[in-house]
Amino acid sequence: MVLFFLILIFGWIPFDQAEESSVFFRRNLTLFFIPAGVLGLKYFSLLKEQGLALVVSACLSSVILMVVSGKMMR
Amino acid sequence: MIVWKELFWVTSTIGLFTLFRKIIPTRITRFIHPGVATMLTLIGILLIFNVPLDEYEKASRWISVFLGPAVVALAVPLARYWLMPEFSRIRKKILFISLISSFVGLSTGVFLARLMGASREVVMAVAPKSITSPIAIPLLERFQGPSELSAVLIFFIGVFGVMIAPFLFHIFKIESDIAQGYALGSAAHGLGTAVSFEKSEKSGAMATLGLGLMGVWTSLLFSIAMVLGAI
Repeated sequence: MVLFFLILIFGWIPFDQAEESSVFFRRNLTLFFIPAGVLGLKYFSLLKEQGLALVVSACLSSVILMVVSGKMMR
Repeated sequence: MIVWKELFWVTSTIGLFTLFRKIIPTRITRFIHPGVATMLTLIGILLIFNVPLDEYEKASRWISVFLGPAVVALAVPLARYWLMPEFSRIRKKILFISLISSFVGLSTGVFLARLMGASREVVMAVAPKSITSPIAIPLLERFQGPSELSAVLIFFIGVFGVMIAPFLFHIFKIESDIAQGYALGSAAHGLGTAVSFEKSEKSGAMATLGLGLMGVWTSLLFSIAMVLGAI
């Protein structure tokens, strides 16, 4: 992505050409994440053991992150 | 036979998503996102009919194979907005803020997981939770970390972030499209970005900036922390 970003910034590939093919991926972005979420089912028993620490720390950290980044960007 | 099964799961995943996107009114998509609704419905179907997960995994590869290119495709709006005159003043600011964001996301996650007595493996799974999975999975694999566990957590955090965001934005008065998009992209990566694009294109572009820069900075910080033995 970084490489593609730099290529576009320096104008090595015309924007219109890149735009056309990227629209399809952007419009359906959510769809491509669905299988990963459904397959989370596989780790159900593992999540039961240490899941609380995993989920709580990740959620709390995300809340802090979201508020901090939203406030900084204002 | 196998081909028909695969075709069935691919069709039903895309079909359900299209259906939910049509029937759920835009007013409430912030609370029940079509992607989440599709996921829960599919989990329900798999459990009720006792479908082996390998069967769905094999079939769903036809869909998840697009995840990599989709993230690369995000470079297009990223570059377009990066070059826009109204963003030119805040370019350096965005670079700097995203470095702080990624430090906050990484350090609070690791600190809280340690505080709750998590094993090193779980700490390693929590650390990259704010990076988009196509970047996080190869990163964890390089350090022999629990990449599958992290992939699940990352998806969950995306869902959680998208659901909690409206409340957080309301409580902490984060109102501008730019700030909301940036916060969603940084904390809820791919799914947050997808939701931001539904709100407005500017918001989506900021989310993309957040997601992309978080991915780059956090990979860097994570690698440094691993080498120094801090994780």
